[in-house]
Amino acid sequence: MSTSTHGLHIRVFSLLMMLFLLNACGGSLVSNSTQEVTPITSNLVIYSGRTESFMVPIIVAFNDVYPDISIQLKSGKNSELAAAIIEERANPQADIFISTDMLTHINLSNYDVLAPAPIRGSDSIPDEFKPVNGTWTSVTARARVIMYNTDLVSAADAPRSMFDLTDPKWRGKVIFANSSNGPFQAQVAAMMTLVGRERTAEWLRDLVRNDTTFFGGASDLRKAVGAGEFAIGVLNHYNFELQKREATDNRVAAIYPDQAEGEMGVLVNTTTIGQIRGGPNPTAARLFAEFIISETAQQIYADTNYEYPILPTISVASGILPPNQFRRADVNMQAVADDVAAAIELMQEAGIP
Amino acid sequence: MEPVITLQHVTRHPSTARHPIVNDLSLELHPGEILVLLGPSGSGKTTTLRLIAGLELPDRGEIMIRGVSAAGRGRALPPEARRVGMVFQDYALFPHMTVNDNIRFALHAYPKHEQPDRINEALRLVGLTGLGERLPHQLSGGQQQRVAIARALAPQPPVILLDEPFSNLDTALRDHVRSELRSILRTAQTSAIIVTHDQAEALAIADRIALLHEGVLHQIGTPEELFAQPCTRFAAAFMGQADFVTVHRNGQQLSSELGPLQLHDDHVACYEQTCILVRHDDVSFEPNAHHPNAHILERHYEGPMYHYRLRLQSGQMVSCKLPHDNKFDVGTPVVVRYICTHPLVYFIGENARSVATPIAL
Amino acid sequence: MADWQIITGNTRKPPKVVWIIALLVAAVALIPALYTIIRAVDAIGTTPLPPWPLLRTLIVNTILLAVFSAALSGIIGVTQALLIERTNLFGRRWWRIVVALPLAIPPYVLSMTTIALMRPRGIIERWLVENTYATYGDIPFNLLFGLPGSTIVLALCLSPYVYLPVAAVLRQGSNHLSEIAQISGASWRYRLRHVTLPLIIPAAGGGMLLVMLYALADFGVPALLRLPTFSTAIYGRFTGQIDRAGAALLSLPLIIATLGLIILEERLAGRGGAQINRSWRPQLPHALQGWQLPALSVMLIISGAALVGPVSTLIYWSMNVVSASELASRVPLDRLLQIGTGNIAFVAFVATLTTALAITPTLLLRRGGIAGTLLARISQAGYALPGVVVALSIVLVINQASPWLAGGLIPLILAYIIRFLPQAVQSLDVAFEQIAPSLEEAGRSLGQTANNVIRQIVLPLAAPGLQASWALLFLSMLKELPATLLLRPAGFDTLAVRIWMPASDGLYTAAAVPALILLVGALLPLALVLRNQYQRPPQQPSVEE
Repeated sequence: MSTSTHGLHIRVFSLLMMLFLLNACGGSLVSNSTQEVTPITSNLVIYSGRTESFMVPIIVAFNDVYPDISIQLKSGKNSELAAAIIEERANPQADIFISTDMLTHINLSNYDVLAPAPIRGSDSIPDEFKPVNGTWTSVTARARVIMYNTDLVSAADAPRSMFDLTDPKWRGKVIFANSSNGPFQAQVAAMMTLVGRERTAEWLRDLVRNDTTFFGGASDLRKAVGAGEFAIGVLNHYNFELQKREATDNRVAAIYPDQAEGEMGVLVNTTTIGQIRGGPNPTAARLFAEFIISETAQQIYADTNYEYPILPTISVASGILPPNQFRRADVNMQAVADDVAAAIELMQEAGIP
Repeated sequence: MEPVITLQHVTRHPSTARHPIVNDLSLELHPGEILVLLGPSGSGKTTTLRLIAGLELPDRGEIMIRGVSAAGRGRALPPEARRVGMVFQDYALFPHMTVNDNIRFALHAYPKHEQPDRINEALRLVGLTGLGERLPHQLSGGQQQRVAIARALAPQPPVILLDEPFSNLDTALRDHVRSELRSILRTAQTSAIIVTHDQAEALAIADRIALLHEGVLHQIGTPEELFAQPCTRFAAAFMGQADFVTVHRNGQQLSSELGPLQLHDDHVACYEQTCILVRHDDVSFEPNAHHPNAHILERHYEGPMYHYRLRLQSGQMVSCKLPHDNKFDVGTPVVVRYICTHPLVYFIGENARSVATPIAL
Repeated sequence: MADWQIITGNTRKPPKVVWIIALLVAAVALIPALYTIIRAVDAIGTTPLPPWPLLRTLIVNTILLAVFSAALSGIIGVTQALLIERTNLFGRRWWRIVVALPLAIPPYVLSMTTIALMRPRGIIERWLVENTYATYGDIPFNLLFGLPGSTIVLALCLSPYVYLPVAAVLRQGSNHLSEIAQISGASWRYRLRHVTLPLIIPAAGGGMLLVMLYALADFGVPALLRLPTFSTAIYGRFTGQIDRAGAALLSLPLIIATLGLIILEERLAGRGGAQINRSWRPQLPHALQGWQLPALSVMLIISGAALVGPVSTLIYWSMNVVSASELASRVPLDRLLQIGTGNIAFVAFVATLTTALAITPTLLLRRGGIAGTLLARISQAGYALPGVVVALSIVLVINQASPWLAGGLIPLILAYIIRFLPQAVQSLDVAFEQIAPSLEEAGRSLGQTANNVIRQIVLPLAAPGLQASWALLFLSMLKELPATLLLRPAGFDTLAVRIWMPASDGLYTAAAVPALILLVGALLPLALVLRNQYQRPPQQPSVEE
């Protein structure tokens, strides 16, 4: 009897030990290379709203420079990670937050969870892509375009404006992301400023009435249009560029919309990075943030992901429509951040899932 | 000597049951005695056993084990503190333990070095020496039962309780196991309470029988007392083949279709008509075509005997057994008479009883 | 003999330690439900609900998905059980294993492969257009999305929840009624309707209710198959905007619906299934004769859709590189294997912990009187919450109450325990109920305390049940997605996450290798489940020799 209770105690003890070991361990996504460059040994926890495949090349390049910084990446949706950062305010777990949408960072900065630490090298970033208080900065820019499948839509027939998508001839043939997609939310928020709340609401209602599908994220969307499941999709320009370069399902073309006189122009949004206030590894965080706006990283984004680099000194990849070749919408994205909640409400009122 | 177990006015009446399962039961178990709780199903005999073992608690009354109160007045000893051995109807052998371990489980209060000897002693007692390393499912039904008994006896409890110990054995094995159990209990000098619904079994094994019906104790006494002098008509019927024949009072005599009987007392003076208990060994018959008082209704062959059901002229029935060379056809007219010289029991109403002796003609 | 106790008339009443542990378990299990309800009640009036048309869509979709997938899995599971256990279907022995295998396939993986095969311009339509006279749009492949596809995928994956209990009843239940009917000349159809179906309805009903509960809370399938439900809306509320109150509010109707189903389940379970009969003899199988081929075809179609389709698609994907971007989103194999082994070790550990924790509430469930039952039911509160909600409330509670716990694996462990404790209690209860009460009573009357009897008699005898329960927990935890997505610490990956990340972006081929590793990892626990199903655990020794 006494021996068995003793045994039980040992078992309980080892269970607890295991718990703590488990709690302490984690792994890095990308294995470290062994070459010695800079003797900084640290962990770095990144919360990323960007799809992992867009982060991995940058992390690999970063580890080439700082091999002893072990990066732990947690990917998810922008707002999910933003919410986690807010919840963890008392005991921050992350060092860096990367978002696919400027508005998420702007809204997050209102919760006072971002460190106001201007990043070295961010001077050369245009002011419209970074805040005055220095809590975040843009990393890459992307244009909101209309992509169509050239087998299903002729170039002459293709819609020229976001407002053309409500035309009955596209009934059931158009796909958007759903209402929890950050870039789509930002588009609606910006349109509320550009064309007014009423016209935006009507546009959303007309989209729904026209049997538009609202589903998933950008990668899914581009594949659906590429495969011909849908004729037309609204997404960021680099998704079109990626689809165009696929081995199959690559018969797609893109329209930079709303270029005519009196139309609103092309919406441009940015991916952003910010350092978490009180994060566990501030030095590594600072190094990563500096790296991601360095010419090396910017070149990677431009060359492999076809995005617009945020540094004016880096040129866009060949074949990409340069930023000065289309008219941008005249809207300050930082100013529409407050409208995101209203935009979501508008989308839901229209019945967008 | 002090009783091993005393039940005083014990009542068990769960809130979910309409009637008490055990109703105001009082009895004593004496040292070395084998007491059989007998009754039909639902008579409360197993509940009585479980009350003694501490698996259930009485709602009223008190249970004492060797003079110490074990349950009553809202307090109770838990089963493990009662030192009462129990053999369950399904034997309840732990299927994941060997025979040895099953017995060792009961010996945890003994020092470790004593346990092997005790186990062997218990196995020897039940005649299973050498089977200690078997698992229960590797044993026959009879062997399993003996392990259950060995396990219950191993810690040398003053009393063991057996719930329907023979019900799972086939008939051939039963008689053997019964006498074996008796001798095991005698050797171990253990008192026992055995629950059964089989009156023949009760008669064979009991020192005393307690007959229960619907939670009420009908009669307690030696097997002979219960068989020959049942207190109630229920007891009479339950203890063996019983026929009730109407008798009429005629002075100090009783007259019946089977002949007259002599009354021994006269406290039934006020009754004109009553019933007398007739068992098959109390009467005999012979064919008589001229002055029959009955005829043969049925005949059953029982090996050494024929069992005849006879229909009296009044329509009442009696049973009679004759050796197998007396074979008569159904329908044969017969004369049936008392052949016993001992007193027969008669009943007034359900319970009151007295005796009368047949008068030889 | 001085050990006086005031006790109630229940020898099987568990000792104090059990009550104390069960109380702690119940308290932890109640946290998310309580938190969500408080939060939701707070939010009423202040947080706007989605507008009515959207809300109506959510309600209708959620209910229809739950009802249809339960009905379809009921049809599939009962058909499979009848064909396998009551007819001379060709290869019955193999079918027994095959039809249980979908337990290892996460519904979101089946969704993914089904989408690739069956979507408009998917693999099948393309093949048809290239090799036959069909043109695009001839066959309405777009029906795959939404309700029909979600229903079929869920039913295919969850039909073992119906098949397993129904087959068990058919194997173990008394055949006498059916044999009597057969002897008295009743036709096969008559016996099926009046004897066999009544026998299996309680088991099938229980299984279908489990499917309903699963469908109510499932997130992966409707999210991939474009069906807006409460679960996806809650996730959307949380991931699309920083709106926790709204997510809690949306959870409220889901909690109420789930509670209703649990009460219904309790009622059904009370009616009891078939009696397990000792003198059971295998029944003569019904000869299919000319129906052999159609019956085999039905079995092949179901298993083809649930197993062969997804597995061969996964294998094809993992061996063929489709595009550069998909290649980029692939994680190297050695890293995946590392994730896989870590994931399996973690899940094995948490499943063990959960099984251990489930013991005390299970003991109280039928032995602890009203208070015990109540405590046991409270510890099952996690049932009423979708994974997202459990995860959410754990994040919130831990960060408010003990932020030092955040960031490690403890929140994730807590979420798994709370979500799957009900499942553990349920399967343990079955295991405990198979132990004859007389064994426990014998233990007590042999002088052992209640504590010792539980440790030395009840737990060892329930070992096969504990094992099966552990295996089922292992499977569920290995497949778990929504709570893992939210709670995993940075750098900790599970196979499910490695599948979901690319799959939710439409990069299905990148999800193939982790999905295959997950399937392999699921085989061992699945074998344990099947062993427990088909080999009856050592019962009490048979009394007739």
